Amino acid sequence: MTGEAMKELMQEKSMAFRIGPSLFSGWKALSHIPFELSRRRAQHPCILHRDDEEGAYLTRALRSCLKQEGISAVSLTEAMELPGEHDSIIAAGRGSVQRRAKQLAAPEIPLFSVLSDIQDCREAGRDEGLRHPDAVFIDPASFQPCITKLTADSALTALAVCTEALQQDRIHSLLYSIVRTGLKFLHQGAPWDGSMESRLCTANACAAAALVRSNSPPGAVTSVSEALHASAFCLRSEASAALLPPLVQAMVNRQCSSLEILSREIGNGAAYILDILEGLRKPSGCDARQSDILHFAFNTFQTSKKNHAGQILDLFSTIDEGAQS
Amino acid sequence: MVKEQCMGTAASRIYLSLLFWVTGRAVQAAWRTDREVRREFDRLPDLFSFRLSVYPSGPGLTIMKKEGTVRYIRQGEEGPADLHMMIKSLSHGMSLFTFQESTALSASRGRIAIYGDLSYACSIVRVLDRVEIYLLPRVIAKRAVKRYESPPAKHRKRFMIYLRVLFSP
Repeated sequence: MTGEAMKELMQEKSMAFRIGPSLFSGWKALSHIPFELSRRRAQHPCILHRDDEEGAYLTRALRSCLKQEGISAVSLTEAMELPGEHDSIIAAGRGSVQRRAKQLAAPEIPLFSVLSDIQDCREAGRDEGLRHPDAVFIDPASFQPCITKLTADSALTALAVCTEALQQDRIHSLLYSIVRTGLKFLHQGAPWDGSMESRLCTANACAAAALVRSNSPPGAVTSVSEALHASAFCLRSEASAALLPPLVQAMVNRQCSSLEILSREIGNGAAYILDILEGLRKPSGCDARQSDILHFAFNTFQTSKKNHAGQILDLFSTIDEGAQS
Repeated sequence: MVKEQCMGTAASRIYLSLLFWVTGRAVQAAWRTDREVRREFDRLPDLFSFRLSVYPSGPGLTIMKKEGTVRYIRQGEEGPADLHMMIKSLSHGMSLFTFQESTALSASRGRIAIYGDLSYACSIVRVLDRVEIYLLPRVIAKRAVKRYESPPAKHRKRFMIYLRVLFSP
């Protein structure tokens, strides 16, 4: 084999990909837990949950499922210390509980995550250097009575993560397939009317987005959204909804090859993403402050070139062109 | 609520025990009656044993091929099996055996754990599909199997299998 051919082969076949947890989703997904515990030789799980209604709801569903198989579990809130006699942790709920569980769980202890449709798209993946859970369970039976706005918020965050991963010009096929799966779930979830189908689609899309996040660095939209969210200017999803259209426009202008791959599969990739976004605007209530958010983001980040400077400037030049026109 | 759950669990156990008993004896009967089932078992080695059970200590059935014959073995008399198909929970077992899902769909949703040779598992699933076609009315069997193929002389063979389930030793 010539040097050139070898180089080409290495470029195509070489990769690094972080495989995520086992994912069990759909009706009766929680029934997998006793078997998965036993497979990992764990019999005394400790349930970690938020000290609120959602935490109580998930814990009740989980306890009833464990009781059927004769397993008793200790339950505690995220603020409490872990008891001595536990051999596994089941974290039930969104972001903060999952992060706390990842910090608490020793590497040899199995860590399970029970998620609902309200996620920040980090729960199922590696979260800023922390471990990922061994198994993730998404069961519609454990979803709290519907809060459509929160579901739409989660879906918007997932959409931002998946869209940003497509910015990479040489996206790996494994990552691409997960991005594609996430977008497909989001598209299937429309209209976001609080039906169980759309909620399950959102939960699955968020889990896919968490795997994408583990393998793809956050881009401009995610970084800016998180900064705006931290400064309490707006919700993460509101910022994502405002910044996604210029991002997609920038990707089209740049003739981004990953977006072209998506377009080859489904027609117009950009229109597909914007279609999902439009479906999400109304239930999430993200329309009202869009121009405020754009201006705030533009003013705040135009001078700050520390992170993702190229991407952010690219994004804001598109916003600027849009504003001028 | 807990009492209702326990009663539901007990009812599920009784239903599955009965169904496993019928299915186990029907496999034995189908081996005597149906050429396709016999052909599948001919491919398996002698002293081959197969177990289908519900985790952790739910009902189960064991089939053994010994000296050219296929026998259903009652629970408690069996040893370790060459092929063990374990349904991960009672509720998954109920989905499968109330024919809400086919065996293939259940396996693809990760509700069945298989310990043993995968090619033997494929043979056994084909046998179970065939037996379900004989045992169940067409409408239900279509939901339970991956591909419904009506065997020749189905009704005569079905009658023979039911007779053997009830009366053969």
